[in-house]
This record gives sequence, structure tokens and C-alpha cells, in this order.
Amino acid sequence: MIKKILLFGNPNVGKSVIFTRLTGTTVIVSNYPGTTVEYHQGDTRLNNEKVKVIDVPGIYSLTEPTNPAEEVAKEMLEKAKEEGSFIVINVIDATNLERNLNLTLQLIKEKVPMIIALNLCDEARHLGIEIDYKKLSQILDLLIFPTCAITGEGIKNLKEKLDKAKISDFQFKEEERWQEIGRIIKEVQRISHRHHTFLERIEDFTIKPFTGLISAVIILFLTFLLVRLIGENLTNYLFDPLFNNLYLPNMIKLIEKIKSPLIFDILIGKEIEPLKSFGILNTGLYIPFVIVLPYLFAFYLILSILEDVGYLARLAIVFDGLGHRLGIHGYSLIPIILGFGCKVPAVMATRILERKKERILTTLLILLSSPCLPQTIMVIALLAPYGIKYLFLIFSLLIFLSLIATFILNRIFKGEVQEIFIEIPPYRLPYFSMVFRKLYFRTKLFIKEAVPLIIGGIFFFGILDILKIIEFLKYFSEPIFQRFLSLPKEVAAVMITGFLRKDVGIALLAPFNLAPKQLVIASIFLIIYLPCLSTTLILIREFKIKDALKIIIFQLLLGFLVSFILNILLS
Amino acid sequence: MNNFPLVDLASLEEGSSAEVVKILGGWRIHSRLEGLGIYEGVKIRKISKSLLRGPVIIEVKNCKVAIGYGMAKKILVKKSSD
Repeated sequence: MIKKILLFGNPNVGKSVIFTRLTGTTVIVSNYPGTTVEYHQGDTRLNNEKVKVIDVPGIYSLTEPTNPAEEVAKEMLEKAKEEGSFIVINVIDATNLERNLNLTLQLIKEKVPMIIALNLCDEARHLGIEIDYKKLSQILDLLIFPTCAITGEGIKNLKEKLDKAKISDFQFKEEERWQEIGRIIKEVQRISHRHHTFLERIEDFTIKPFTGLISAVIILFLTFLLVRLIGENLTNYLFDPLFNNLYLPNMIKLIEKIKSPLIFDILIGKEIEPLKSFGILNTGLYIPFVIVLPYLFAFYLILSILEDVGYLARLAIVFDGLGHRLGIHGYSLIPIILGFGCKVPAVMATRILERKKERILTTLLILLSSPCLPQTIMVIALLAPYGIKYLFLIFSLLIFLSLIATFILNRIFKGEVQEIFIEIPPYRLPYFSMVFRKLYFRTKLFIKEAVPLIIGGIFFFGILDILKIIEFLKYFSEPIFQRFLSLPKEVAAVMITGFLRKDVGIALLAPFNLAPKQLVIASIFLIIYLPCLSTTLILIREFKIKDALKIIIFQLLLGFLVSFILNILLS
Repeated sequence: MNNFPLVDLASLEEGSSAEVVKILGGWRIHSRLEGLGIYEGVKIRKISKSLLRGPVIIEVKNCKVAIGYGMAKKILVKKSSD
């Protein structure tokens, strides 16, 4: 009786796709090595019995775990061995048989009942790789099923024969594992000579140091343009009209029926226009759904495509050298790029980093190196009329500051940076069903994790507002802005709104008729002084209150210091 | 036999083939490298050198692998004559 199925395989072999095919549960499928460190679990039916399926994190080796994914995988196997009634499906990438067999042989040594799915068979054929899988099956003393996970070819066969999984009797010397694999490969694999494909030429171009850097800059710039184009249009022509013309008027009518000004203030706000006050059903929904979601959606779409094509892994490699000097890992670049869009998912994405130091430094870079996308757009809108030099000043100052800050903190914090060591996946055309599935999951994660925080935060501020605490804070901070930053005292109010939504804060600077220099100081201050409310809450959840407070206080001090110095320098 | 001296992987010329002779360091680095098929005696080809101490890229067993600069420094190789 099989009660549990463990899917084992190297990263990037289509294991997650086979998992999805077996269980029907939707999971994140990715071309980026290491995304499956969080494992997935689902159920399938075998002879009318419910069977648990576990998508074990992708690993290269099982013998001596050297990273969290391998530790998790080994523990899962040990646990299954204790419990019994399980089988292992070893998913092998046919385009990379030799390297994949390493794990297979290690699994055979574990003496566990297993069966093999030889995946990506069609791709191997395209590459001129021919595998005599029947012979391989004889040698390994295990059943092998050629599969194409994306089209689903072969999976049904595999599923019908799962009870034929067995403990292999194949014998070899552990010290000669790779030599043994070499002998097997000679017997079962033929590679016909072929010319470099177009994709391979691009591959070389995007990975070699100089051309890699150039292509990275171009791709990142195009990403930014595309995200802005899609996000802006979604907001202006779809989400905003829906909210203001359809949702809000009806909601107001409904709430007016309660006839309680206090409840109206809490739910809709003191003013009816979104973003002018703190109503949870007004501003509280407008921020996440009308301002953030469209850009996030656009950003995730492009990101998922880049990820599935195999580009993100290359980007990590290109920037690893620079990253090491700052105490971060090449992988850190992915959360940092996410941060161009919105800081909330970016901070969440630092989970892919293995060490605490890398996570904290990366988070600082996320928060300091660039404003989030809606903020960037506001800054551009506000300062563009005064000429490009002010924009240039702001953005280069931010990058400079964040690099200096991380560089210094890297010296202060102890701990070495993990060396990058990854397989470079070949470029593949993305499968759009997988891209959309991932897009769906990421958007869902944002709605599930971030939206309640934003609404809760707005509720909290609404109460503070009603209790006149915000007014007190304004009154208290006015002289600071006037004396040290040469800004009109009314700006204090903007800074407090800015905590709620920084882009809105920046937009609210417009009516003050500030001089360009004052605008630069106010923008820089607004960008740095605090993470926005939602980000603050996410920071607290991800890092525990102590480390989150450290990050926030650091930002606050830096924000005041930089604006103060800037005020002296510019006047 | 050839008479090429031992060099570390980071210093190996771009495009040349070589054999891994010695990996410096403890079991952890050996084990990590071994998982992707890099062990003493294996033949590799260097695809790209590192920029600003970034990773070195090699081909091993038909597969491209990026190795951090510090790690590449610990891998000693002997250039093949071909």
C-alpha cells in the first residue's frame, strides 16, 4: 500500500510541473534554481485511495547536505523511511542525464522503492540527445517512463505503474559514483553533432561579463517601461473609473443609511475623495487595488516571463561580483528588482536568501536604492518640469547612499557571504499557462498577505486621526521641518500622510509651490525617512520587531541627516 | 603527459579545457562542488572569466555552471594540451 509519494530531482527539471499534473493542485513552477525551497504538498488518487504527494525541494546531492534545501530533502526522506509505505519518483532531466544520474545513484544507495520519470524528452531530442531508456532501465534495475511534463505526455503511464516501484539491486562503489555514471552514459546516450542554436548565441551574449552587463541594463530598462505602460493604463482606464464611478458612490449610499457620522468617518473617511482621509472601505481599498495592484500585476507578469525564460538566474550571475563587495549574494538582485515595483513583495522575496546578514543588507538596499514604482512616477511628474538635472540628482543620490550604507554595514555586521554556485539553465520558451499560474499565485499572495495589513493600517490611522493624535504629531514636528530642512511647516502633514502612501505624500507636495531645491529635499526625505506603513508591517512580520526597528530607525536617522546636509549644500 | 603548471580556475584562460586536479578546503566545498559534477579528475572547459570578481562560468558534463570567484580560486586545474 502506497500512502506517500516523494518527488525527488535536481532543481529545474520540471519536477513541479509533474507534481501539478499528478495532484491537480496549482503550484509555482519556475526556471529559477532554488524557487522550490518551500515545498509543496498535494493529494492524488491511486486505486481509489488518497495518496499524499510531496514535491521535495530540488537538490543536486543527498549525501552531505550543504544548504537548507538539501537538509530539508534529506529529512523528508528519513521521515518517509521511518513511516514506510512510500515510494520515490525520481524526476530526471533528459537533456542533462549525466549530472542528474548522480542523485539517482544516491537514491539507489538509500535502498528506497523508486520509479523514474525521464522528463523533457522532446527537448532532448531537439538538442540531438538520444537516450536508450530501456537499456538504462535494465542497468539501474528500475522502471523508467519518458515524460513531457508540459504537454502531459507519459504522465498517465507513469501514474498507472506507480505500484511497480521497487528497490533497485544495482550495485556500485560509492567512491566511484561519477566514474560509474560515466560508464552508464557511454552505454545509453548518443549525442549527435549540431550547430549552435540561436538561443545559445543569445545565451553567451547575456552571460559574458561585458555584454552581460549591457544586456542587463537594457532588459531592466525595458522592463521598467513596460511595467509603467501596462500599470498606468490599467489604473487610469480600468481600476480608477471602476472604483470612482461604480464602487464608491454605491458604497457611500449604502453606508449613509446607517446614519452614524462616526461609522461613516471610519469606513469612508472625513472626505469622500480617495487618499484624502482614512476610510477603510475608501482609501483602504483604493491603495492596494487601484494604485498598487495594477503595477504589481504588470511587474509580476514581466518578471514571471523573465524567470521562466531563464534570464533571472543570469542576472544574478552578472551582478554577483558587485554584490559580494556589498555583502550580498547575486540572488539578492531579484528582491531588489522587485523593490522597484513595490517594497512589500520585495521584502517578502528576501526569503530566498539563506543568511540573515544577506537578508538584512538586501532589505536595506531594497528600501533605500529606489523609490517604489508609484513613487518614482510621482517624483518624475513633480520634478520633470524643472529639468532632468534634479531627477538625476535624486536618483543617483539614492543609489549612492544605499551603496555606501550597505558597504559600511557590511563591515559592521559579521558573517561571510555565501559564494554563488548555480547551474545556468538553458533559455527556454516560457509556457504561458505556467507564467499565468505563477502570476496568479503571486497576486494572490499580495492580496492575502499585504492587503489586510494595508487596510488594518488605515483603520489604525483613522482612529488616530479621530482621536486628534495625528494633529498633535503634526504640531510637534512642524518646527523641525521649518528649522532644519527649510520647508514650510504644512509639509509636516504631508510627511505623516506619506507614511501611509509615499507616492501620495509626494503628490501632496504639489500645492505648496515649493522651489525645485525644496522639492528635491522633501522628496528625498519622503523616500528615505520611513518605509511606508504596509512595508513597516511586513518588516515586522519578516524580521521580528527588534531587527525591523533597527532598520526603521536607521532609515529615520539617515533621512534626517541626508536632508539636513542637502539643505545646507543646496542653499 | 603535458607540462602545464597548476592554476586556479579563476586564472585559467577563457575558452581553454582543463582537468580539475585539486580542490582546496573542507568537506563542505567538496560536497557542494561534487553535487554538480565537479570533483578531482573531472574535465571542464572555461566559458567565461569573471568581471569585478564575479563568478566564473564553466562547462562540465554538458552543463553550464556559475562558480563564485572565491570558490573558483580554490579549484586548481591543469590545462589540457588540446
